[in-house]
Parts: sequence; C-alpha cells; structure tokens
Amino acid sequence: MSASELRYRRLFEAARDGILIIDPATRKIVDVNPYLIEFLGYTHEEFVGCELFEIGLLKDEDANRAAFGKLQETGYIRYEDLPLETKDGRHVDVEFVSNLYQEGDQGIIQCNVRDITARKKTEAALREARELLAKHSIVLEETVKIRTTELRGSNVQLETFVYSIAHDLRAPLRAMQGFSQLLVQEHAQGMNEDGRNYANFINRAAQTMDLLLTDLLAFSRISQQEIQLAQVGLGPVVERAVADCESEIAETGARVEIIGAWPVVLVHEPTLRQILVNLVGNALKFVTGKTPHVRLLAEPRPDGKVRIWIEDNGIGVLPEFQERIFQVFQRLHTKAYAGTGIGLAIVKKGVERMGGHTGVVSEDETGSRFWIDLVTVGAPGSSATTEKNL
Amino acid sequence: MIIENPVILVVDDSENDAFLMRVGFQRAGFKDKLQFAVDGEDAIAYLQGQGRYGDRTEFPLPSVVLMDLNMPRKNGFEALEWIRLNPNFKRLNVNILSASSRPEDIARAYDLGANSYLLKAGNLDGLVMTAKALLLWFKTSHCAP
Repeated sequence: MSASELRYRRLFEAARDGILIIDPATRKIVDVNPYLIEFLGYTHEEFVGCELFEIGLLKDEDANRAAFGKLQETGYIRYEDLPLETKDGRHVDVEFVSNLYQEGDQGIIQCNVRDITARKKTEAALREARELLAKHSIVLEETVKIRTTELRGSNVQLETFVYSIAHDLRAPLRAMQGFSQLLVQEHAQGMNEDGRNYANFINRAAQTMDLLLTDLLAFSRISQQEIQLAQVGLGPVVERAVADCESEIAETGARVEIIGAWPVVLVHEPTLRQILVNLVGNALKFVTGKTPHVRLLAEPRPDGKVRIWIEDNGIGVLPEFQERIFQVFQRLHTKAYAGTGIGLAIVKKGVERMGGHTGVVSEDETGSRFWIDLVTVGAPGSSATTEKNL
Repeated sequence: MIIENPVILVVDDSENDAFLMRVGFQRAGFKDKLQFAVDGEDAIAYLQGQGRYGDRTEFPLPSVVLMDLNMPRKNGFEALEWIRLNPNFKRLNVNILSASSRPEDIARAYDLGANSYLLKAGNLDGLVMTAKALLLWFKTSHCAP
C-alpha cells in the first residue's frame, strides 16, 4: 500500500460519514466503511455484492438504473433527503452524494451517506413550532379582535351613559333655574331679603351645574368622538381661536400677540381650535391686578414636532400643581376664578388624541407658559406677526 | 302666507318645561294660548283630531309644532316621521326643541325633515329669547307653505 493509499484508507475507516465504493460496471458494492456498517446495521459481507436498491438507498431496480445512467452521464448525483430503513427497521434520513471517478483505466463510484435524521427532526420540530406559533397568533389576533369590539362596545356604552346622565340631569336643572328666576322676578315683593338671596343662590348653583354638565359633555365627546387628522395651516387656526376669545379680550383690555411662523400640522381642526380657545381663555382669566398680555408663538422641536407656546403674565402655576391641573375637575382656585376644572383636561385629552403632548412651565407668580406639541407636515409656512389689541 | 297668528303646538313630556315655555312665550309677547301634547303619540292624536282633540275650537290645528325629542311612548323622531309621511301634515312647520346637542340627534332630525333644531335654553331669559326669535321668524317668513 502506498502512503497516499494508506492515508485514504485511514480516512475511509475513521470517517463519520458513511462511504460506499461501487463498481460502475456491475453496480455492485465493493467496499463499505465501518461507520455505515454501524449506522445501517448490515455486516460488511451483507453490503458487498449488493446493489444500492437492495439496501433501500434507491427505491427499486428502475430507479437504480436511472441513477446510474445519470451518474455515467454527469459523473455526479446528489439526493438531499432520502428516507432509509436500517436493517432493524429503524427509520433514518440521509443525504446521499455519489461521484464517478476514473482510477487509471477503470471507473469507480464513491457514495457518501450522511445521517441527517437529527437535523430533520430539528427541522420538523421547528416547523411544528412555527405552525403552532402561527396558530397561536391567529388565536391571539381573534382574541384581540373580540376584545377590541367589546371595548368599542363598552366605550359606546360609556359615552351613551355619560351623555344620558348629563342630558337627564339637565331637565330638572332647567326647572330649578326657571322657577328660581320666576321667584326672584315675580315674587320678590312677597319675600324678605334672605328669601330673595336664597332664590338667587339656587339659581346660581343651577347655573354652575349647567356649566359642569356642558363641560362634562364636551370632555366625553373629545375623548370618545372619532377624529380624523388632516393637514392644516396652523396660522389661521390660531387666529380663529383668538377671534373666538374676542369678547374676553375686549372685557379685559388684553393684549394678544400672535407671533409667526406657523407650520402645517396634522390635526383635527375643531379639536385644536377648542384646545387653543381653552388655553387662551385661561391666559386671559387667571390674571390679577394687571392687564392680561398673551403671546402665542411656535417653536420647532428636535423630534420634528412643533411646540406652540401660550404665554401669559398671570398668576402662574406652582410646580407641585403643574400635573394636577390637567386632570378632570381639578381646580386650584375655588372662588376667585370661575370655571369647572375641565378646560385643561380637554386640552390634554385633545392633544393626546392628535398624537401630541402638553405641559406648563411656570416658576413663579409672574406668569405661565403653557405648551402643546403637535405633529408637523413639511416646512414652516410664511412668517408673519400680527397683534390684537382690543 | 305669513304665519301671523300662529297656533303653536308644544310637544313635551315635562310639565315643568311646559309651564316655563308658557311663561317664556307670554313674556315674548305671545298673546294666544299655547297648545300642548305630552308625547309623540298624543301629538299624533291631536293632529288627527282624535277624542277630545276633535273639538277644533278648543284644539285648533297648529301652524307650528315645537317638538321635544326624548319622550315616552312615541319620541320626537317617531312623531316627526309620522307627520312627514302624512299627506295632510307633510309640510307642517316642525321645529325640534331639545336639550340634546348630540350631532347624531341633530343630523337625524334634519334627515327626517325638521324645519329647524333649537336647543332648550337653560334659564328663563334664554327661553324668552328663543320664543321672541321664533315669533319674529314666523312674522317674517313670508312664504310659508
């Protein structure tokens, strides 16, 4: 045996792949390595002299002949995945590669048989897991769909509930307001001053409750209504919102500055207008001993949003109250300033429903700077500064 | 034809509202008697002249209806629908007078053929203003059906 032959022989004996040597003339096995003997369970003697189909490597004699035809033609055949049975009937899967060589003047076929049973099992397990996962995700999707429908249903129920409460409470309220007014206007002579005062108290309380119900309805609507966002030029909306506050501006003699440039934003315009009216209204309302001065300006943010500042020279908001004032029915002033405590809750809810945020900066009692962040579209619009001084 | 001396039928299940409405219209300068029905079913009976409503001197056919929405038996929508389907009353001036500012209610009322949709005023002064506006409108609606 030459050195190279010896090397080959050692490889043949030690390989962890099955190797068969076949004589292309007879198609019979002439040699088999120990690994394949161990793997398939046939003895060396049983292998030698067999054709491939006899040990199940090819389906039958016809397949055998076809495979050898192809091998003669191309010098190479490969089956990525062949099912096999070992001698003791165990099912295994193999990758089968066969090459035709010339050794001097005679041909020789070497077949490599690799056990891929474990890989196949892993693949099957993986496939099964994927299918299971897909099934689970279908179930999950269905569950989410059902829950969403239920949630929508209960949202509608809640809206109907809030609405009917507010609506039904209004009817007796109308009576309280109407009759207490009648009492004051038509029966004042029959009452002493206390009596007239009491009737007025009833009337004022009923008016307050009416305001509360109106705001509660507005809050429930802004939380529940379907809103569609559209591209809107911010400038005109700001101007319209300020115009909505005209009577308060006139009453207080306030100075309102609108400082451009205003970009195009993605908003629900009526909601944004209400938000701005509430913020400007607050800026005009919460001022003591001064003429209100309100400034509205836009500042581009690093995240692509735009921040609208509503700055006032009012009484300010102490840091410990700056979160609380955005909650429903939270009021910091009971007597001095009228209101129901819903205005800023509407601002927060409305801004959030348009994908934005809101907050306030106020360190001392020299004013507040409320801000809302809105999603922008494209570049800022034309720059302009207008001033309202009524 | 101007609705000079309108016969106003108020359809409302609330006695309080009915009483205050009477005061409001009086204060707005309306001299005649307001007619009342307590719900949609009663309003239809009135229009058809059923039972005591057969007496047309006491219960004349209205030229204007002020219709509440939320009422027992037949609500305002159902009564309005009936009126618009009835050949004798399909052009009758029917105004919704409701406390509901819900967009769905407003849209549905107009879809069913309401002539206008008024919100119930919260207090007496507001009610007087509504009544005055209505009376002025009747007086100046020169081409009523």
